[in-house]
Amino acid sequence: MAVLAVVVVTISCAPALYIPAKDNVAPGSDLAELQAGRQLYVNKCGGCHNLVLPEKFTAEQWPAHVVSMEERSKITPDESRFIIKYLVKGK
Amino acid sequence: MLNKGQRELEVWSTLRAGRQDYYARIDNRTEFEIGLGKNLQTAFYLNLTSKTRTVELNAAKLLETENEISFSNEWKYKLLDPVAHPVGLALYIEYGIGSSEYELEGKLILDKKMKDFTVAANAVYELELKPGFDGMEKEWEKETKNEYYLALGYSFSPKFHLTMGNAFKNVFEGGTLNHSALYSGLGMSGVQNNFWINFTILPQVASFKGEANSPLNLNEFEKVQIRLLFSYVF
Repeated sequence: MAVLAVVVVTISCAPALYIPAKDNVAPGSDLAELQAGRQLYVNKCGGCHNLVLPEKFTAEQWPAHVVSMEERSKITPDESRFIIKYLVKGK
Repeated sequence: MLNKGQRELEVWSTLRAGRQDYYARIDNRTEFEIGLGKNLQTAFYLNLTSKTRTVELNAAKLLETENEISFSNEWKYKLLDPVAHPVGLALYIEYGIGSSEYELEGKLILDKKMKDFTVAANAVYELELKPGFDGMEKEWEKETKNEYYLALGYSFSPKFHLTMGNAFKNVFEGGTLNHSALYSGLGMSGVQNNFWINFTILPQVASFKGEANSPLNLNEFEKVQIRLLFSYVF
């Protein structure tokens, strides 16, 4: 019973990686762009390494991290732009 | 999961001891793990086992030691990421070829990270085949195991973690549950640069099926399992 309770609570929790919504991104952000950025981040980056939360780096640090991975992960500059937008929460 | 191209060398030493009569088993596993990308990783193991147990011969009790060497290969595939999805999910398969038995193991791994807490649950199915003789006839002894693991970890800092672990072990023979026991204990991990170390003690806390003596089953299971794991990521 305790095991079942833990499993149910675990599954019902929201993911640690935020899902873009009006109240958790910079005002005026394009939500569709941020959602595309999340999908790219999960699929392109998460396939090769453990994902880190956006809070791990600042909005100034993220672009350099993502751009440095472009060649290795075969992401285009446009895809990179969406991923950065998502990681800096539209700032 | 390991990052693509990342490698990890792990040395596991597990002591299982404390049965009704003298019993001690030491398993030493050396694992070389590689991240392949595309949500996939593989590992190769060299396993050395030494087991000393009490056997009865003409009403006399003797100690018998068996040593075994085996090689195994695991594959792990991540279906859901524990950060991006409500819960992480991975499939795991391992096959092993040993000097006295063959093994096939399948595992379903669930994990979830919530700030400083990590919850992990594994469901394991294991099939063991041992060659033997029934009179003059050669036959395969078949044993299946179902094990369920549930662990709750807390990170006091990026370098120190404490874990509460539970293992529910069930052994089937001929399709029937033969013996079953629950282990519950504590573990701790330390991380320093590319190294990490883990120490776990899991005592048996209850038995549900089999020849129980007291609340525990010390005929088919051990009183305690102690594990030391040392790892280097490069």
